[in-house]
Amino acid sequence: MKNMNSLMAAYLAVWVIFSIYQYTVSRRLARLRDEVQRLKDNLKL
Amino acid sequence: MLITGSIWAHPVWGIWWTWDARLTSTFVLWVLYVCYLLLRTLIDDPERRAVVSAVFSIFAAFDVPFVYFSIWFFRTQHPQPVIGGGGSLDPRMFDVLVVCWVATLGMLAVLLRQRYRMEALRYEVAQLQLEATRRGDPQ
Repeated sequence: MKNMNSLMAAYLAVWVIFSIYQYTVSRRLARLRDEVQRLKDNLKL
Repeated sequence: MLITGSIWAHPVWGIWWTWDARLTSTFVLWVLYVCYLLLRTLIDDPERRAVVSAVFSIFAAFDVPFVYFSIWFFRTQHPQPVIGGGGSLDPRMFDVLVVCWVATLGMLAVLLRQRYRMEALRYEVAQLQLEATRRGDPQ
């Protein structure tokens, strides 16, 4: 099929960018949950 | 869209980019979006941040209809509308388009849910820090 490489490159670009962003957001969520837990422990809630 | 559009454009048009109405207005929209995200990180006061961000987003939203209608008003490198604009779309491509729409909406739902959870946790952290300050507890 013509231009299949370009199609694959476009799909790859989208999924790589999406995966990287998902990973960064997951890490930020984990850090925030840890911070919430730490603050609750300090306040003995 | 700017990246995948360029990947599509190279084999079809023979160029990665051109400064036509649709592409330029889309690029401007992307710059406005980056500015909005920067604005939200640069203002510390939550209330002022909310007001300034809201005003900026209203201003930035004026570019959206311009992006959409740019291919109606200007005859440029970008193709004319293939759906609802008198153009023709291969039925097989329409199926592919629908699948891509559903996949993109799924990605949107996942990202929206995660961003909502992140903002809720940030709010909770702020409330707990306020409570700790009120009690005089060391953080």
